[in-house]
Amino acid sequence: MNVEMRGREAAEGLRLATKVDVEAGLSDLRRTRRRRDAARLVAACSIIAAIIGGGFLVMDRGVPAPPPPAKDPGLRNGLIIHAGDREFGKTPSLPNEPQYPLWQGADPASGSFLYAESRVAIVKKSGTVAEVECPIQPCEFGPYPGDVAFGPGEDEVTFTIPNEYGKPPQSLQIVGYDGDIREEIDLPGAALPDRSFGLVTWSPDGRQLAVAMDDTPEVWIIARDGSRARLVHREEAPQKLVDGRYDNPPVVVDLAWSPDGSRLGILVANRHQGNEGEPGSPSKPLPRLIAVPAEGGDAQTLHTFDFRNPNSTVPGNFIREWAFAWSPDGKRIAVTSDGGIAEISTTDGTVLTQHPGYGVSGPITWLPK
Amino acid sequence: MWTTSVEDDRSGGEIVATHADFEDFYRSELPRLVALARALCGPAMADDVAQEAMLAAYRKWGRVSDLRYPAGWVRRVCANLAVSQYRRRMIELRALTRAASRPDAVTLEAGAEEFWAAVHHLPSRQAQAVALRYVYELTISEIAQTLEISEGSVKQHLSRARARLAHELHLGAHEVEEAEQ
Repeated sequence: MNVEMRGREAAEGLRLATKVDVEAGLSDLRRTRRRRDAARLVAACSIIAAIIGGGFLVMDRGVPAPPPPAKDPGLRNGLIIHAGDREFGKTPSLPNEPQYPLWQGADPASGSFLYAESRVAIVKKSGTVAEVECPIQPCEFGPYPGDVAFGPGEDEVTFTIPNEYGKPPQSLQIVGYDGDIREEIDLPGAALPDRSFGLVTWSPDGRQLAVAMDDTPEVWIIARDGSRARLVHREEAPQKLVDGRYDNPPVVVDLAWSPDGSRLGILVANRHQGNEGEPGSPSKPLPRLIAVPAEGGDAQTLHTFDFRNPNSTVPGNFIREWAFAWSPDGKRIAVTSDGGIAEISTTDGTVLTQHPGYGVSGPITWLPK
Repeated sequence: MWTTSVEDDRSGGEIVATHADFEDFYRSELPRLVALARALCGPAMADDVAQEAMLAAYRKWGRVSDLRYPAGWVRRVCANLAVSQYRRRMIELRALTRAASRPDAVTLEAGAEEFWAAVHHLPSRQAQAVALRYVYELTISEIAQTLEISEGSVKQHLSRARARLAHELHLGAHEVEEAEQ
């Protein structure tokens, strides 16, 4: 039997095993759309009400509300917030927080939360600050992923957008909280080779942009105007592993600047996440947390996630949702795993603290006190 | 821009007709779309990945239905969602709340399970090409059209994928040559 025959047989088996209740799916689809549209309507009405009431800006500049309680009483270095918290309502919600949040993270400087679907909502403790429509709807699930990030200015967000509908993102659009498009940067034309990218994040001072490519494990740093692209890290991508099994190359799954902008953290892992390092899957390359100097220099592997090691001090058995965040003082990095959050030293990579928990997944941010 | 209304790109009497078209499209396309998702990312997320792809088509139906190949569009969305960790993690967040009430997926026969497990280990483009080839029985040209890449690229991805699968599934060199022809 050759591959072609095995493939046809396997596909037939797959079709037979795939039981779909089409009518139930259709009903669920309608409900989902209504729910998400309703969430947008609620957010829009909240903004209109705030504007009509004249209190919008006053609310934003008024006496700040007390910070939400810390998730872990033992945390002495600020507040770690992750998407699981927002999704399951484990921590208090903010005023006007979107009903169906796709939480993208928070800006440590302003404390604003960012939600994105077909529109981006920026929410502070005092309420919704702005809602910006995504250009070409990069935040919606389309043929290719889009990304949205705070910055470079304090009242700006950056979208990754395709140059052509249905194509991978190749450009950046910087949009003010007032909805004005302030700048467009065509990265292939300005700096990068003719390739698409997946993740973007601005340095704390807004002068540099870190870009993770979508299809290769590479990270570039680019100047504010889209010039001077520098390849700061390329992860080796072994195609054949020690036991003879082939595997996917690792990809960059998250990246974040240190608070002082001197280092860039990079989390690399296998594209098919879920059981890296689990007992019984020795052929998978182990995920690694890396730090590279922003001005150039050798990458430092801070931590290798090896759950086969019985002495592993990261909670849980594997990392399902890849995300990490620097502490406000830059001395620690919080990483999500299926068993909670681990705080890792940015000096020597040791695991300093664990915060066991359930539903820890998706983006994570570490806010100052 | 401050948002003052809920987006809806449809108007008046078009809604009924458009939705009816979409429902037909949904009924005919969903079963195999779920199979495609399962081939690429396993049973746990397959329903949700296919449903998200359909939701994307639903929201843009006025535009998608005008395409020459709407089914290709939603298959491409599904195939890209299924291999994109960045987007899958968001879908997974949504799926977690529904997982408890969902029946377990029907188990595959061992040979099929082994084949698709090997496909999961392929680079994403190769996996997509293989899944479209076998789940939909598409030709090289149709795969190229679906993924919006050249036919040459599809041939290359399929050739490399078959070689890897032959190695992974211990089918031997002869079968590799035979498969590549």
